[in-house]
Amino acid sequence: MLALAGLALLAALIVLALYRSLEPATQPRPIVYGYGPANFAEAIAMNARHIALGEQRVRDAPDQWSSQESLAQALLARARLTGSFDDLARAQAALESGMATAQPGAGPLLTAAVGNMTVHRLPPVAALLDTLGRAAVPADVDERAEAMAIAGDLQFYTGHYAAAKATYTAAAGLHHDAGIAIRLANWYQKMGDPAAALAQIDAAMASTRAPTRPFHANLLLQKGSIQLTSGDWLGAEASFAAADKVFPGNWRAAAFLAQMRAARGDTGAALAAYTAIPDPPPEVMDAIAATYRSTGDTAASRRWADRATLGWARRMAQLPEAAVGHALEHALVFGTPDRALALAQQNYDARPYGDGLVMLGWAQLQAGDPAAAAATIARVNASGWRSPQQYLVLADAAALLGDPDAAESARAQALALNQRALDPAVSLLWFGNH
Amino acid sequence: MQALLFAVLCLLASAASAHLTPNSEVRLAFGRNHVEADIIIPQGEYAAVTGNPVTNDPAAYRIATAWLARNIGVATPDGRPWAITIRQIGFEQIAGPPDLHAIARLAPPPGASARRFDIDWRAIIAAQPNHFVLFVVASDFTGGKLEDHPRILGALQGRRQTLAVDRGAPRLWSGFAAATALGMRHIAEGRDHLLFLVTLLLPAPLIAVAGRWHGRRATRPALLHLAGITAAFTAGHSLTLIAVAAFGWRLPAPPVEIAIALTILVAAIHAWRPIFPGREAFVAAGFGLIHGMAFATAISNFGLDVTEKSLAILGFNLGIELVQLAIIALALPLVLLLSRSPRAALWRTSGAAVAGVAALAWLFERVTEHSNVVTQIVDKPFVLVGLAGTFLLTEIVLAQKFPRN
Repeated sequence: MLALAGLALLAALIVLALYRSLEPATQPRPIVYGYGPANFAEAIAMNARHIALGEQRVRDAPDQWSSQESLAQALLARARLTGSFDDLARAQAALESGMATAQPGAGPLLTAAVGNMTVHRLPPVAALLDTLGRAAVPADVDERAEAMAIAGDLQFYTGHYAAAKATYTAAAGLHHDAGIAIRLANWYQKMGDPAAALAQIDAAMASTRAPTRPFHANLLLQKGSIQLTSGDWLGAEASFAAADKVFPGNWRAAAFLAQMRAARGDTGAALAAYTAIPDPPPEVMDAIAATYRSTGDTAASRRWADRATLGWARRMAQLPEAAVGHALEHALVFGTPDRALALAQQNYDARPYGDGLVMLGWAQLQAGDPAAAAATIARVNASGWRSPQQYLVLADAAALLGDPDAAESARAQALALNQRALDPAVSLLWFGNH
Repeated sequence: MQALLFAVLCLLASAASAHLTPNSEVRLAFGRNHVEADIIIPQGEYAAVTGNPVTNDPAAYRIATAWLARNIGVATPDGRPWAITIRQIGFEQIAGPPDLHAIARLAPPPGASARRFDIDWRAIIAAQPNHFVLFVVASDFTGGKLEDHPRILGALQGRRQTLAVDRGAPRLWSGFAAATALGMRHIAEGRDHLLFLVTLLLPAPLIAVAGRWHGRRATRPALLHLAGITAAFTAGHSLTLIAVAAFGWRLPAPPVEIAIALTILVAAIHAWRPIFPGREAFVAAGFGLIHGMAFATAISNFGLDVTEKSLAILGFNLGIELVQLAIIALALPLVLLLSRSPRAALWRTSGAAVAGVAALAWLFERVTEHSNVVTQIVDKPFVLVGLAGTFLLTEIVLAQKFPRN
C-alpha cells in the first residue's frame, strides 16, 4: 500500500513538472513607457499640432528648407499612423520645396532619403546619401549611422541582400539602435530565419530605454508578422492583441486582429471589426471584400472591391511606386490577369527584390504562363531569399507544367518555412503575411 | 530622428504580397473498376462565379449538382465519355473558409481502363482565370500508393482545362506490398505500441508471490509465456484492426490515443508490482483491441472494393507483425538475460519507471494537446533502443566486475 502511495506521489510530481513546463520560465520585465501619446487618438492630436507648427514655420519662412523639413517630418509621422497617401504626397512636396530652396550640397537630405524610401522611390536615394556624405558640415554619428542603414535598405530593396546585411552591420557598429535591429529582423525573416528575426525584435525592444507606446506597438505588430509568416498563428494573434492593448485605437492592430478572426472562421466578428475601422483605407476594403467573398456574399464583396478599386486608382495617381504593390494585390484577387501582370512588372521595376519577384511569379501564373513563373522563382531561389510564398508559386507552376515531383518538393519547402503555408484560410490574411 | 526612421520602417513593413483566392482541390481514389473523386471548391468562389445559392437545402444541392455535371467531363483517351455520378454534395467547412464539397463516382465505359482518362474541368476556372485546381492521388491500391499524404497529379488554371491521367497497369501485388510497407512503417514509428509490448514482457519470466515479483520461471515456460502474451496482443489488435477497417468505422483519434497511453501506464505498474499476475495474456489481448483501433485509422480509407480492402488489411497487418516479431526477437534475449542477473529487480524497476514516465508524458500530451520535453525525447528514433542498450552494457560491465560466486 505504501509503495502504491509512493507511486501515486511520483506520478503527481511528474504531472506537476510537465504542467509547469507549459508555463513560460520567466515573466517578461515590465515596460516603463517614456514620453509620447497613450493611444491613437492622442497621437493624432499630437501630430495635428506638429503639422500646424510645421505649416506655421513654412508660412513664416517659406525659403528656409528646415521649415519644409519639419513640416515633412510631421506629415510623415502622421502617415505612419494613418497610412494616408495625402500626407505622404504633401510630405514629398514639402521636401521637394525644401531641396529646391537649399544651397547645392545642403537641404533636408536625410529626411528626403527617408521620404523617398517610404514611397518606394529608390532612384533619388543614392544621390541624396552621397550628397549627405560629402556635406561641408559632417553629420553627427547617429545621422551617419541612419544614412548608412538607408544605404543598406537601398541594397536590400534592389536585391543585394548580402551587401545589405554587411551595411546594416557596419551601421550598427557606428551607432546601434532599434532601427538597425528592426531592419535586421526584416532581413532574417526574408532569408528564412524567423528565430533570428524574432531575436532582433527582442533586441530592439531591450535596447530602447523608455520606449513610446506607438514604438512598442509597432514592434509587436512586426513580431506578430514574423510569427504569422512562420505559421505560428496563435503567437501572431497574441502579439497583435498585445499591440492593440499597448496602443489602443490603432486601426492597423484592429485590422491584423480582424484577419485572425476571419482565419479562425469567425467571419462575422471579423467583418464587424473591419467595418468598425473609421474611414478604412483600400487595403482594409480589400480584406472586407475577400472576407465577404469567402462567405459567398458576392454582392457585398463586389461592393467593397469596387470601393477599393477607386481607392487604389487614386493612390496610384498620387504615388504610383508606393501604391503599386497593394494595387497589384487587389488586381490579383479582384482584377484581371493582364492588369495584374502589368502592375507586377511595374512593382518589380520600382523595387527589384524578392517580394516583387514572387508577386511577379503569381501574376505570371495567373496570366497562364507557368514556365515564366518558374523561371522567375528560380531567380528568387538563387538570390538567397527564402519565403514560403516563393515555393508556393513554384509548386503551382510545377503542377501546371506536369512536374508533380517538383511540385511536391516545393510544397514541402513552403511547409518547412511555414507549417500553415497551405492552409486555405491563408486567403483571408491580408496584413503582415508576406 | 529615430521616430522618423521608424516611420519608414513601419511603412516598409507593410509591403505588399500576394493574397490569392483559395484553390479547388480534387482528390482521386483509384479503384480497379472506377475512380472516386472528392471535390472541394471554395464556396465563395462558387457563389462569385455562378450566383447560385450556397445554403444547405435540397434545392441548392440540385443546382450545384447540375452545375458540376455541366462543368466536369471525363472521357477515355479516344473520347468515349465516362459516367459521372455525384454521390454526395453539401456546403461545409472542411479547413478554412466554407467549401462546396462533393463526392463523385467516375466510371469508365465498358471495356475501358479505369486508370487512363482525360479530365475536362471548367468549374470556376472557365470563368475566373486566377483560380487554380489541384488534382491529387488520395489512394491507388493497384498502383502501390497507400500513404496518408496525397500525391500531386497535376493542376489546371485559366485556359488549361484538360488533364490527362495515366496510372499505368493495375497490379494487386503492388498494393499488397505497399500495405505491408505501410504497416511496418506505422508500427516502427509507433513508439507507444512497442513500449507497451516490451513493458508487458519485462516481468514475463518472473513469478508473482504475495504481491511481489519473486523467483523466475525456467527458460521454456518463460518463452511460452512470452509467446502467449505476444500472440494474445497480436490477436487483440488484429481483431479491431480488421473490424474497424473492413466496416469503415470512423473512430475519434484522441480517446484512442489517450487509452493507449493508459495501457502503457498499467503495464508499467504491473512490471513494477504484479497487479494481474498469470493473466497477462488476457490483458494483452484486451489492450491489443485498443491498439488495433489506432492501427486501423491508418488503413481504413484505402481500397475501394472488397478484394483491395482485404488485401490492404492483410498486408498492413503482416507489416505490423513482421516489425513486432523483429522487436521481440531483439528484446527477448535482453529480457531473459536481465531477469537472470542479480540486479534483475533494478533493471525491471528501471524499465517500469521509464515506461511509466513516458506513459504519463504521453497521457499529459494527449489530454492537454501540448507537447512536453519527455515526449519530445521519447518520440525521437532510437532513444528507447539506446536506453535498452545502455541497460545491457551496464549489466555486462557490472557482471564482469562483480562476478556471481
